[in-house]
Order: sequence, then C-alpha cells, then structure tokens
Amino acid sequence: MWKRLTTLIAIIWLSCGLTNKAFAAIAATTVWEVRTTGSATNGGGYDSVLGTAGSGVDYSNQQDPQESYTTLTAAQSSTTVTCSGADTFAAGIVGNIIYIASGTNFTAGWYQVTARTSSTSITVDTAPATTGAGSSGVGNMGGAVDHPNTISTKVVAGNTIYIAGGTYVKVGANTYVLNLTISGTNGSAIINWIGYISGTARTEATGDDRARFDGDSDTDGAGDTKNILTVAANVIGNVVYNVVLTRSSGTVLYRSATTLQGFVLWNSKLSDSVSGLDGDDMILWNCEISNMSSKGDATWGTTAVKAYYYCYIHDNSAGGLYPIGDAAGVSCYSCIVESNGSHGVASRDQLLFYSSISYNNTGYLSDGYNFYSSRGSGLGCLPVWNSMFVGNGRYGLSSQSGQYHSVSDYNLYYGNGTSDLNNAVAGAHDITTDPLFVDPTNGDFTVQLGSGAIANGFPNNWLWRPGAGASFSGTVATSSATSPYDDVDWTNPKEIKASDNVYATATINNNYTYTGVCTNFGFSIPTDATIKGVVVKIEAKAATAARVQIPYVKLIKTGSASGDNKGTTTKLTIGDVIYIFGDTTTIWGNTLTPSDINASNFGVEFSCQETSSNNTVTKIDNITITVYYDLTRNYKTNIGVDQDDNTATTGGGGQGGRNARIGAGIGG
Amino acid sequence: MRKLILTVGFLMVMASACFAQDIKLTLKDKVKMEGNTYKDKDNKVYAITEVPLISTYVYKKPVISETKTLTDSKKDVVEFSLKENGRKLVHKELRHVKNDYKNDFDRGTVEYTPKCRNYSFHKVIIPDGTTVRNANFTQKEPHTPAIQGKNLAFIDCNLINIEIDPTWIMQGSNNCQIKRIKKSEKDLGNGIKEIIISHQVEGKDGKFTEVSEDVETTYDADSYNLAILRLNK
Repeated sequence: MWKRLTTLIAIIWLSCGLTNKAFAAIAATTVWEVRTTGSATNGGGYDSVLGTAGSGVDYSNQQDPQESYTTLTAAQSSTTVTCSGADTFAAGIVGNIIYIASGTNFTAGWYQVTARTSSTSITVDTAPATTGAGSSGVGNMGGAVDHPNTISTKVVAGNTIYIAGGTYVKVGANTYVLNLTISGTNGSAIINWIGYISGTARTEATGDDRARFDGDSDTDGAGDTKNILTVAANVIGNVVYNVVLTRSSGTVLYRSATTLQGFVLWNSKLSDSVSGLDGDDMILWNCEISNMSSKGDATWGTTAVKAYYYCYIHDNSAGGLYPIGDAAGVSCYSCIVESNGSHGVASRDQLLFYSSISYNNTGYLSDGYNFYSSRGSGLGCLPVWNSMFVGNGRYGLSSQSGQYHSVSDYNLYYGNGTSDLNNAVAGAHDITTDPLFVDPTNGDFTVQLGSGAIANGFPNNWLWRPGAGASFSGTVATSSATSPYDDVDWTNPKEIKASDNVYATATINNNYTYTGVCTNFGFSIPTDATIKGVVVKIEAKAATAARVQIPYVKLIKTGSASGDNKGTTTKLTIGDVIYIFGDTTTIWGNTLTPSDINASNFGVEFSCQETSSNNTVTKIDNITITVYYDLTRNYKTNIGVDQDDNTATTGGGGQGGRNARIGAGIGG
Repeated sequence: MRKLILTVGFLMVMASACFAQDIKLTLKDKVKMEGNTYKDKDNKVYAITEVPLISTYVYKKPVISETKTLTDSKKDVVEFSLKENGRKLVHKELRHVKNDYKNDFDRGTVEYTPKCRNYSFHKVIIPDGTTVRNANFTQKEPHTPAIQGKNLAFIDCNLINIEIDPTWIMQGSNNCQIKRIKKSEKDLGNGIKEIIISHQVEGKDGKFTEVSEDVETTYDADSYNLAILRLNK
C-alpha cells in the first residue's frame, strides 16, 4: 500500500515537473527581429537575460540563421534536445530561439534555448515532441523572421519586436496584415512593436523609413485587404511604433470588441484607404490620418473612448474625427484637423478638444467642431479649450440648441463660413482674430509674431515640441589639442559632410584619433525658443568589427568643447551604422540658447579609439545634429510624420517616455 | 525749378502706378455682391441661380455656362460664390475652371495645384507629365473619369473610384473601386438616425462584394440627406 502510494506520488510529481517544463514559454524579455528578407522558419528572437547567464550571443539580429539542423532529437515530453553528426549547438546559443519546422513527432514552432549542456545537448523552454520521441528534427537557430504576423501568436507579454523598414502585406487569406492577439500588460510588460530604419542599429524610423503595412497584396494598385492592423477582442497592452498603414479596402485600424484594450499607436501614419480607424480604448500619439475616402476616425459605438495626442488629421473626404457614441470620452490634445471634406470634428458627447486647431474643413454642412447629443436636452458636454477654429465651411463650433453643458473657453475663431458659433456660448476669454498662421498650406500653423493670438495669450499651454536640425555642411577641422585624443590625424575629414559612402578615415592601433571638430551647422532657431535637447548622429564603421569605439563626443559652444561627454564604448561594426548621442530632453550639461546654437562656432567634436592593438581603419561617413526646442507659438504638423527630407523635425520620440503612456489618459 | 517739380511729380505718379500693380487683390476686392447679382472687377454683372443645398442654405450660383472653360474674371466670380458668400463649399486653395459645382459629392472641375491635397469629389485637370504625391482624389461612383491628364504619376495617392488612364504610373496608391449601398436605418430619437451601409469592393471579376457593414450616424434632416446623397443607388 505504502509502496503504491509513494509510486503514485512520484508519478504525480514527475508529471507536474514535466508539465511545468512542457508549458514554459518564451521569456518576457525576449527581443524579436522582423525583416522582409527574413524567413518564416528562422528563430527570430533572443533573450539577453537568459543569454547573459549562459554566455549567449544574439543571433536573431541578422538575416540568416546562425545554425541549421537536421538531426534534432528529443525524448517524449522532454525539454532536452540533442543533435548529432554534422549538427552542433553553438557556444552562444543560450537565449536564442530555434524554429523546428519538421521531424518525427516534433511540433513545429519556436523554442527558446534556456541552457546548453554540450555542443550536442541543450534545454529549451517547451517540450517540442509530445506525441512520442522526436527524431530527425529540422530547424533553424537565429536569423530574422519575415513578417510580424509570423510570430504574432508566439510573442508574450514584455516582448519587443523590431520591424525593419520595408513592405509587409497580408499572408494568405488573412483579412489583415497584422492581427494582435496576445496581451501585454498596462504596466511593466507591454508588448512593443517598433519600426526601425532598415540597415541601422535599430534606429527608430520616421517618414518613408517606417515599415509599411500595405493592403495591396497582389500589387495591382488596388487595396485588397480589409483591415491593415487589427486588435483582437480583449487584447491589452500592445504598442505599435513607427509604421505606415495604408491601402486598405475598408478600415485601416480595427478593434473587434469594446472592452478595455489599452492599445497605443505611436508616430505612425494611416493613409489612402476608406476610413482610418474604428475602435475604442486606444491612444494615438504623434500619428497622421490622411487621404481617407470616408472619415479619419469612423468609430461607431456606445463608448468611443480614446485619446489623440499631437495628431494630424487631414484631407479625408468625408470628415476628420467622427468618434460617435453616447457618453463618449474622447480626448484630443494638440492636434491639427484640416482640409477634410466635412466636419473637422463631430461628436455626440464629451470630445475634449484642447490646444488644437480645426481649419479649412469645407462643405455646405461642415463645421470645425459639430456637436450633437442623442441623450436629450441638457445632456452632453462640449469641452473645448484653448483651440482655434479657422476657415471652416459653416460654423467654427456648432451645437444643438440646449443639448450640452458648455465648458468652452479661451478659444479663437476666425473666418468660418456662416458664423463662428452656433448654439454654443462664447467663453469669456474667446477672441475673434486672424491667427496669422505662417504657412498652413504646407502644414505650418505657427502663428506669426504680431498675431492677435499671441497678444491675447494664445496659445498658452500648447504642448508641441518641434525640433530643428541640420546636416553638417560647415567647417571641418581636426585637432590634437585635447589629451588623450591626439595620436592619429584624420584623412579627408571634410568627407563627413554627407552620407554618401565617402569617408573620413584614420588607422588607429590601441590609441585615439585626433578630435574631429565640426562647427557652423547653419541653424536658425527662433530667438524666443527654449532649447530642450540635442541629438548628435555619427554614421561610422571600422574595417574589423568590435575593435573601435567613439568614446568622446562633446558639443562645442562659443568655439570650445563644453558640457558632458556623451561618448560610448559600443564597438563599431564593419557596416555603416548611425550611432546616436544625446536625446530630445537633455542639453549635455550645458546652458544653451538659440543664439549659442545659431552661432557659427557651435558644433560637435569627437574622437575614436582602437582597443585591440590591431591596426584598424576607422571610417566616418556623416555627422548631423538635431536640436529640439520649445516654441510656444509654434504649431507644426510635421513632427515625425512623413517629411521626406526634414531632419529638422524627427521628433517622434521626443515627447516623453513612451512606455509610461499605455493606459494613461484614456477617456480624458 | 518748374521742370524739377514736374519731373518729381511724374516720377511719383509712375511709382504709385507700379506700386498699385504690385498690390495683390483679394477675391473680395475683385468680386462684389450687388442685390441679387455678382459684379466682377470689370463691372460685368452676372445673374444668379439659387440652388438649395440644404434646408437652411441656398447656393447662389452665377449664371455662367457649366461646360465652357472659364475666363479669369469668371473664375473669380465662381470662386467668390463658392467661398465668400455664406459658406466655404470647397477647399480654400482650389480654383474652378468650369462653373459646374453641384453639391458636396459633385464639387466641380478645378485646376490642379500643389497647394491642395484634397480633390475629393472634384474633377481635376492636371498638366501632362505631372507627378502628384499624397493627394486624395476619391469619387462617389466607381470608375469615375475624374482626372484629366496624360503621363501622370501618382505616388501615395487615394485614387478610390477613379478610372485609370493607361498612360499613368501609380506607386503606393490605392485604386479600389467601392460601392456603399444603404441596407437599412434606425431612428434613435432626438433626430438621430443610423444608416446601415453595405460596403462593397469590386473584385477582379468586376463584381462588387460586401466586405463589411458600416454605420453612418446623422443628427437632423440635413445631415441625413447629405449622408444619403453620398451613397450609391
């Protein structure tokens, strides 16, 4: 009896152990790599936490798999995998993911290496053979996957997926390009989908460098995909950055349920489709919605809760923002809604329009903001604050008589077709004056000096954070005046003025280059701006990888190196990579005024170091500086969105820490 | 001395004449409303036809041929009627070449200008060989020949329901053909109505298939009529 009981306990214990192993999962801190040149049968992911503990090397951030296998074996329900013959497991395999494509009793899928026992034996997160002993397994370790949807059901909360620039279309009979079905959290374990510039060290993309999710899968010029990005029912905690969602035959961004979803779209563009989005419980940050045949936001439902920050909604045929729903809670901060073919904004309840502009929305029934409540007289709320309504078809701000509680004030109205207000009570501090936009035709809604908006205190509290930048076209010099950066002078230093694969070079051997001294960038930042941050980008490479670093990067102010050294110990690779120093919110320990930066003696100096005692040719292709500043009268549409040649405003990530944003602000 | 005064006076007159030529006249300077007529800058008078667009607004359309290409003076009159006489019916940067505006979904024939990206429901004349980027040419009815011009290139444009000319090049643009047909409607009270719409896309076989069901919400008779006007029969 006792023997049977202990045997039973042992079996239960063993079963529990196997079960736990069999149902482990991809690590939360795993980072995935997606490239158009990748493969659906590549490993695609790497976890640096596992890797660090097990001497792993990231083999996912490359096009091809590091190793391919044909002799994988695994006992039934065991997480131990072995190989034989010509197959071996690399020393750096821990943390990487193997895609097992086929084999006797193997379940095809992704398996993460959690330990390496020998060159022929590893442990993976989940038992790959559950129906019998696995043999003749075929798989790949490392290498990028080919499409974000390839791994969309495999990612787990906390994962980051880097998506290289390029075009991604729907797979097979899908009605979407990417369907988000796995939840992150609204806190520390968000799933981040990040578009980056192809060929760079994951530099976040803007403009045409962003990954393009395209609805024209058969390239006949007509969108054949119903939705481009969908969020499945009740999925929360996903953030998508830096993508272009375009050419849908229906709605570009679609959510399939009305419960809390906590979805964020960041620095992205929705364009050239029927309608922009239909969905609740989401945040759009620094996004552009344009050229829709219907409406930018065509959400219909009972809640329609969402928030727009710094968004640009324009040139949609049948209206800008139409999030229609009773008791809605839509917040619209620092947005521009212009040149739509009907109302700029329409709402049935509580659409907060704060520090925003509605301009040139035309048609015989088109208002800058149209409010109508279906909840009966006296119900509904019309919160409009610190905003401008200019040149719209009918009214600037229109409501149904007696059907709202107005909390509107500090607004500017000018040049609307019939009148500025209709059934809406003017705020005590409203003004009617030409705002004198600088160039609204080209998206520059900065008000000129002398604008009545400024005289009346507009636009107080506007949150826009434009940047100004310049590629280097000024003066190049080299210097040995700063120790220890005084060993080797640069050859052809002037070649750093353009990213053209013509280089300034220096051969260094366990020593430093002279400093490259770059000044006179030609900035013309308005004198009433406040400098917020400075970003220096250096495009560089070395003849051999892992030998050269850029340990010294300092700003030059009034002709002298000044402030913090932002150098790095990251080693150069053999291919051109843009290395980034500083960020949008720091000024390198300096005090900087527009005059300092506009001066011809403002710039940056740097030095490279070789650390391996091998003569290594070091090459610099290009240097740029971007300056981020705050100009309270400035209101441009081109932050981070689709400006082909505008390094001046690459501010997509410039508005604060992004992981903190999920779940914040929904519902105003 | 007298010669000097005359010379100075002559120069002042010439300078003021030159200055006057440099002044850019606004539309309101060039066109006036007098009674129930328009008068252009040459004092030519145009009678008006009243076109009711909604219950509360009548478009005062100048009596000018709808098919002939407009002269500059007539362009001014038509532009004034569309933008400066009660409501702003069309994009501020657009200039009509024909007097053929009818309603929000048939907005008339205009010149192409890079200053405008939204040509929805307009016919537009684009100079041959032009490259157009990021513009919206949406039409209500499928296969509408709304764009005139040869050897055009469209990059990242919305060409939904546009009939494509074989000489055009399209890159990143969307040439879906779409019908939107009313299926039913609900009255929610307080003047609110919901129109249920069949959203249909043309397949390679030329047949239209419903891919989704959309809802259009309207809040009064005018907005309801406008929504219905946009639908296909």
